[in-house]
Amino acid sequence: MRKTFFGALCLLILAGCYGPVDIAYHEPARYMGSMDPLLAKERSPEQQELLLQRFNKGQTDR
Amino acid sequence: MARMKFLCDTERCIECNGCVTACNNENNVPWGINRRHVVTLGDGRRGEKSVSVACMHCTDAPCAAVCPVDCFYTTEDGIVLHDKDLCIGCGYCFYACPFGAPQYPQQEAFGVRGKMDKCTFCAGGPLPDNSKEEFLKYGRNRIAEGKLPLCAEMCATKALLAGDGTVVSEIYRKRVMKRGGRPDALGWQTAYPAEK
Amino acid sequence: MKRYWSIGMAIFTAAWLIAGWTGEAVCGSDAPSPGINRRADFWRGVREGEAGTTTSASEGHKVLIQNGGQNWRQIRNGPIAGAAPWLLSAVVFAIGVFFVLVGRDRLEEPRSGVAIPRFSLFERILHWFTASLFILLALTGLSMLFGRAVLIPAFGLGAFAAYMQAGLLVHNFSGPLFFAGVLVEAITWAKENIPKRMDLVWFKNLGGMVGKGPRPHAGRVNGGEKVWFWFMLTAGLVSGVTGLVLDFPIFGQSRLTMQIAHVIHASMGILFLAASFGHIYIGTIGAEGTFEGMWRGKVDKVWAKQHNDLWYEQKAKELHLGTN
Repeated sequence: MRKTFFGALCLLILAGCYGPVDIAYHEPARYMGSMDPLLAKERSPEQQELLLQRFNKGQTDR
Repeated sequence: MARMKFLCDTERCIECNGCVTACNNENNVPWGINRRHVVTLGDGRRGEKSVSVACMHCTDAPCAAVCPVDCFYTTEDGIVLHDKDLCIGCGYCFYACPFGAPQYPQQEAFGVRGKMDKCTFCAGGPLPDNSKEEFLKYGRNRIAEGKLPLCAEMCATKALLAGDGTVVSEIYRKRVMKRGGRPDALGWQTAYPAEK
Repeated sequence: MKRYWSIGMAIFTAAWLIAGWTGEAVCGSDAPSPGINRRADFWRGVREGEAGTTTSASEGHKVLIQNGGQNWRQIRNGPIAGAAPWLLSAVVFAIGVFFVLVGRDRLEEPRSGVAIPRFSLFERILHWFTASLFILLALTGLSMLFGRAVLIPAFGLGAFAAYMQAGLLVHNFSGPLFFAGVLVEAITWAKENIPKRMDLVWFKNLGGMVGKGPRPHAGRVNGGEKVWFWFMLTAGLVSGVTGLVLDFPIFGQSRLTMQIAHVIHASMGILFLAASFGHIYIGTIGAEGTFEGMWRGKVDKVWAKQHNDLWYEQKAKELHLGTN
């Protein structure tokens, strides 16, 4: 009786070691990764201006 | 060791569904199942783009993480395969997969799920390579024959690339550079809007 | 000949001009919209799970990347699978402690030998029908969640898969039957389980189980049984409805619906099981003489007086047992 009881308890506790309990909840369009150092550069007005120039030069929307 | 990857070039995909047909034919896929499918966003509008998608053979595959009977395994080439003899058709991999790759042939009434079927990167399954049983259960094992998946081989515009990830990305990188005048980078940061 | 040629040219030119004109009118300017990159828009749409078009008729194939799967995976493998064993073992442990400290709730007087009918044959069949299905569902459900961590290391992949294949079938078929059983139980027992003021007193005295205080009054069903009944009904309805959503993927329910349904189903199932431990304890070894009421349908007069005094008085009048 006591043995089965503690056996079952040990089994349950063993099952508790399943995976990390903390979760990273993902939502569409929300960036979850570490900070991208290139992001600040890309968002800078100079870089945006450069991209826009290049974009307008050859972009075609097929 | 090579890591096998699929890459679909949206600038080239013309939504011909040739890859789907090639896959279904080569692998003798059951009726009603498409291991590969083509999704078009903004269909009929200006700037519509199509992507051919199948199992992406994830490194940290969600299907493998949630499988109650642990029937998934990753080959040396980084291909995620599963054992249909173990699969119980519970549907968990279908809940977990972001690409809708796992599908179930409906065998009985009330929508009872059969053994899961998904893209194998034309690498068969755990049965002996190119045996009849392997073909019947998983389809052709082209990798064992030294060939790449037929979907990519058949792609008319070479939009769909398959093979060693480094080679595939090198081909794509060269393409992007050659195209010129098409800075795909503009507007990309808006996929993840800046924090307020 | 030359005349025909010039007429032909004129027609061709006109057609070309008209075609050019209308073409221009339909397509608008071919110049790109300033600052709008449709390639980036495309991938943003993909990231946000926008539905497109596809020739595949399979569920979910219109969406290129579905975001919910990763969340579902984390919730299932993390909090649910991580917390459930602790909750279940905590409940088992608490019952064990209660058993050691308080002990069984024994009959306070020697058995009288006078039997009073408590549950009709129909009620007993109903109870054991749902109870046996519940145990089957609990065992197979726990195997789905923990089999990979506990049973595969012990029995191997092949043996566990064979067991789980049968287990899944049992789970999927007994689920709807269990749900039906719960609904019939609800109809059968709802009226006598309506809470009354007297139940508050029952809880204040802890059912008379702890300490030497006087036994609180109770009708046919005491406060504790009422709480179990309403919890059983809620858990049965919630896990039943979500179970049906998962069981029959033929109503066009989306992946997201099934992910949410699974999270609710699994957590409710664990809570249901944890609460059922208390019910099973009190119904078998916890309170002496209770089990025979549900098994043979009759209880001893002493038991009835001790646990459900108001019901006993009513029954005594009906059966002309006298007041003692």
